[in-house]
Amino acid sequence: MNLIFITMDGARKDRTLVAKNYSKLISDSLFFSTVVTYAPFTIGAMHAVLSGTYGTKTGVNSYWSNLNFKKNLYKTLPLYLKDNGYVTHADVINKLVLPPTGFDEFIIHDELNDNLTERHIDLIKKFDSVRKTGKDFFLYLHYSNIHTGIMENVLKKYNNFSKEYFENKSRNETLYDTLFKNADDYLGKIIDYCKEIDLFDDTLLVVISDHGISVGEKHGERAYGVFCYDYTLISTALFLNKKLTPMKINQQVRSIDILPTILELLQIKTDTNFLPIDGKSLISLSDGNLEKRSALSQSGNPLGSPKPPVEPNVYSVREDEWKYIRNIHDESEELYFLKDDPNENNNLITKEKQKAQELRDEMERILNS
Amino acid sequence: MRPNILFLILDSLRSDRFISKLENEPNSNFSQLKKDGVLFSTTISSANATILSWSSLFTSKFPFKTGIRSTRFNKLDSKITTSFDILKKNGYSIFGYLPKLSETVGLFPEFENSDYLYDFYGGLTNGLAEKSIKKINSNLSEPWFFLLHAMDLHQPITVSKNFDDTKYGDTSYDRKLSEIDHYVGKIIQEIDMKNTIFVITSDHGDYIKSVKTLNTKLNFDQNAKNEMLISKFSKFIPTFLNPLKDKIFLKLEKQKNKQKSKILDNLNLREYEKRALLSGKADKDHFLFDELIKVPFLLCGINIPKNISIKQQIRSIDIFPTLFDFLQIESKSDTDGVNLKPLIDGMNFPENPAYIESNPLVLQKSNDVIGIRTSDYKYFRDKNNPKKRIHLFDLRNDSFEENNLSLNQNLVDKYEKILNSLIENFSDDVDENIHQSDEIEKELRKLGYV
Repeated sequence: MNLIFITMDGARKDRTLVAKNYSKLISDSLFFSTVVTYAPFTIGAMHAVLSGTYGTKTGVNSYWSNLNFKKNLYKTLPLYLKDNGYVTHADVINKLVLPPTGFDEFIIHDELNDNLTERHIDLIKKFDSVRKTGKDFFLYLHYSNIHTGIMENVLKKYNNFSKEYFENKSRNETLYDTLFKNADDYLGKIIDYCKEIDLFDDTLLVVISDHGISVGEKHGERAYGVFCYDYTLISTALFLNKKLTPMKINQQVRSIDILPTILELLQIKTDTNFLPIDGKSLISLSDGNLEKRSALSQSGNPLGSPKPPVEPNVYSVREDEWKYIRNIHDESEELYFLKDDPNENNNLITKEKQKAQELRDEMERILNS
Repeated sequence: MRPNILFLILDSLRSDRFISKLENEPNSNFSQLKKDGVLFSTTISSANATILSWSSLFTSKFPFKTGIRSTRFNKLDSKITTSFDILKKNGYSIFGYLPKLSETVGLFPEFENSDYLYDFYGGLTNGLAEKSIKKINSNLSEPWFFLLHAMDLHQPITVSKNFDDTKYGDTSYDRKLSEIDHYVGKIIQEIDMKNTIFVITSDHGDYIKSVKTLNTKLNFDQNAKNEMLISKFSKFIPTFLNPLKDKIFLKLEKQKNKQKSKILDNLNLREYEKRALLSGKADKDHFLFDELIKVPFLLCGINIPKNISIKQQIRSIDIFPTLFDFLQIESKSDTDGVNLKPLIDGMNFPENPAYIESNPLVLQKSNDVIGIRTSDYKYFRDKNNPKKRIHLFDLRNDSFEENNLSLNQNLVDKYEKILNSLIENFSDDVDENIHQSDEIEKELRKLGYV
């Protein structure tokens, strides 16, 4: 079975659920609405997704650390597929965002000038002809234009403390909605084309977002990669193939679970020559398994510096209803009851001591696992 | 079950002072450990400072192949498998204590104990020994590898009252070493040596800034109390004032050196004594004299032969391949370091030239050198230009490296050739790594993150 893997860079969950094409696609797919990303920035997020392992182990835990990826110890999705005879191709925003090993071609697009819809449809056309020769293919497509719009209109104009940005939340939302509408149009056209050539007969489509994006919710974070709040931490993932029963699963899962899920769907065994991964396949959840999966995330608060830090300095552990945040940089802690306080405004760290300790222990467990 | 390993790095421990301690204090804990194991007294570290030395020690590769170039954000090349990776793959749980600067290089694995980082001044003699004993006694999952990097001998040195006595040596360095010995004894008492291999080595040596002549006793050691106060105070200086702080530091260092030179003008000191006394933290010209790179490597415990002392030159990069042999773990095939087991077994074992490199300064551009050491000669020269800052010493006849033979072109050519044979295939890699580090920033800028 072939694999098309699309990353919708910076797609927020709230917009994903209501967008025209996205919601249509969701209704046809096995969809996970609450996927906690390991890192609310693409480099950390995608290395964790493709390795099924937290950056605390793989070495990629910051914007600066893609060279640290321990490829000898953790086998990535492209390498699994390459070893299984797939023709592999990546079309990405930047060379830092993915571990390149295993890709036959690793092409960087020009996010400012390329028409990604046309470009990616052309690639699907190209790989349709590969498919017709009887070979399996893996095509990784990165939709980067939400990032592009944020980069041009937010990152280049404001810093994390710009008054003008945080005082104009509705303007930020309008900008984000425009960018998301374009993303949704892109997705619609890609899906239409795939259906036109009956691609889903023998192809698994995976569409994920790597992280969310702020529209000015919390002072100190103009976009993402600073804090560990839900508006950047929650992403989504969907799996579409004729043999998969469409289903929407709202219980929390982790982005590190995506790799083992794909391997299970493609019937590829894990390679025991590499270290075991942190993630677990999601397929059992579609059979009604209500297993709770706590998720570790790490981010890097630049604290007024123009550069992100070399090491993560904000850690969080999230469960379905609770989140514990540890700010390493100032040794502060936060605890939120997400069920009643989804916007994470009411810090319960001094009130809910038992829960705080439970989640501290959970964080230690994951960090030491 | 494989044995546990306690791997103790005593920062700045020089081989000559360690050997002299063994000779002068035959009942010390160090002496007992020497009797119980194998001592390599001429172990050449790849670098004169911690970061590059670590990079080499824990990868068994020459430092220029590791990707780690200095305390900037350069990190370990992702292609490289570290000794920690191999240990982990073979079932070891990694514990230990390291100074905070270890965070910057991406070399170390996730430690099992989350409190593994300590502030710069952590040492066995100020709490680290007790902390380690407590940790080791806390039912660690076995087999464990416990890495302990202790800063006791790093300048500034503070000797406790009990050891600040001439019976422990003339210098604060020697006295501190006796104090460390006392704490090493405490650790040994708590370890089951029947199931543990104990390694003691160092990352590099140091100049000892204290000289005793017939008429004079000079001590240019840093004042520990002042240094600690400055360090504490520095933490409260806002980041934007860092350039000013660095400028003041460099100016003060320059002034201090002028004053020191004046004092030395009237004294009849040897060259090696002068260079030690005049050395400073901000020196731009870097060197690779033996006092900076010659360290001990002591190995004892289960399965290790007893009472063997080896003077033949070896390298720090050989330590892990040797240890892996004793652990019956397959070593990597692409290391520069070699397994020394045949040498321990008394077999004829060829000496390998040791590649050496100075660690660049962080605050300013330094004049760095690279070179090689054999048991006959030491050769080092400017890192970027083979014709500049050439130093060549006949180690058999000039062990203090005072007589530079750089005008002996035949010998210079001979050793430059050996150096080139080590680096030529990897010169592109050096550039690529430097390039890659700068490249990351360039790419992050493109993405709008910098």
